[in-house]
Amino acid sequence: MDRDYWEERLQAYLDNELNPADRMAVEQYIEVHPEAKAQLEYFGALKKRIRAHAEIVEMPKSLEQRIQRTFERKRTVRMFRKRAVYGGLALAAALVIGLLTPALWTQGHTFEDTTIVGHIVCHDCSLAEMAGLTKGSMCKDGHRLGLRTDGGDLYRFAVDDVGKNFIRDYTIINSEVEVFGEVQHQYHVLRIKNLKKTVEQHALLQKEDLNTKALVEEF
Amino acid sequence: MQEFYDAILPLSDRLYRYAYRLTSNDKDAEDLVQDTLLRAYNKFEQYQSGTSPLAWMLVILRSIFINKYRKKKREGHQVSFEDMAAGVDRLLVEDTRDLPENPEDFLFRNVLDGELRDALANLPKHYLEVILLVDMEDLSYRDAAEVLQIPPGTVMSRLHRARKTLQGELQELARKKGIIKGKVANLVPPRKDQKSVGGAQYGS
Repeated sequence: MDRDYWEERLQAYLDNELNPADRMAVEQYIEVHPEAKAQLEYFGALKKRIRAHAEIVEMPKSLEQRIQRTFERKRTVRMFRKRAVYGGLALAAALVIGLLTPALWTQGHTFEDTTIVGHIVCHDCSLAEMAGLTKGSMCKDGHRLGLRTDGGDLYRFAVDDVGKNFIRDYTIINSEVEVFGEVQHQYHVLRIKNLKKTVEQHALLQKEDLNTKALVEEF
Repeated sequence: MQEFYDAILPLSDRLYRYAYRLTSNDKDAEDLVQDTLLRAYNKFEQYQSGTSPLAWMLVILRSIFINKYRKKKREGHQVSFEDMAAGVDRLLVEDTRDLPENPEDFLFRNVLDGELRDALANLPKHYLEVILLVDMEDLSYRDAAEVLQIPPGTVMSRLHRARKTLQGELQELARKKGIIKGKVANLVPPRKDQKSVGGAQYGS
């Protein structure tokens, strides 16, 4: 093998870049070639000298400050952009929620004026009945009353200043009534403004009829 | 991006060291480092975590340097590397009897930093670079090959010739100073149009 071949490997040996087999070959070569050992020592010393020399070049403070300024500014801009993006997203989300929520709210929670006819029932007992449970003695204080329409819809009376007198008046259970008030369809809640037993209404109508007949007879 | 601040920015001084040796000029070196860091910042997503950040940065630095060099060359502002490289291989030490008996003592006592700096600056850039990468920055042949975009085997052979050339420069210097008497072998006669062996020319 030629001299360049071994000299290159000597350099690689010095730089610890050889595999174990090549290292061993170089070591054997050095043993029988004293000039190779001298070269190895020289280039080892040269490498050390160059490494020591490297340290004499120092980065100027001005450049250090320039770099620091540049990248601090970039970091700030980046953070600002990031915040702006997140802020924008949060704002967009808030807007979407803000737009959707009233729609959701109004859809289920608003009361609509209504006039509705049905029978007064114990709401809880009726619910139990609808669920297939026996009625028994479930109707007692604490159950809220409600209205069952002829169509089978069940409304619970809302706790309300107007309606509260009817909430626990168990004497009117099973009475057919006409309710004027507001209904919240999603939760089947009925807020009473006025309630009339239909039998009383019939009686009143009959009385009015009698009065009318009497007046006619007088003429 | 935090990795850029943690892993890349602390390498600034080593980049400067490399840039300074390439440009031989502190102003150009500063600009080169600044440009390199800015480009690295903008392309940081291309950096593969786990690889040598210094090697990655040096690839960028070299690329900027070469492009600027080419531009300056087109504008006729700079001496070509071919001219700088001419005759550099003339100082290869062939006779090992020229080697000092105690090389470490010789190199540390008799070779001043200024002299070593000049000797390095006299090397053609492709020799200088391989010494800067392997000896100064302690890069492996593999990382150096990545930076220089050559095969690792070429790094080995180029490094060999670069060190031998530097050795020749220093021996010549010692001879001029009268520290050693031996004459350095003149292996290759200098020629005006000579290109150094194995050298990639930036301007080509």
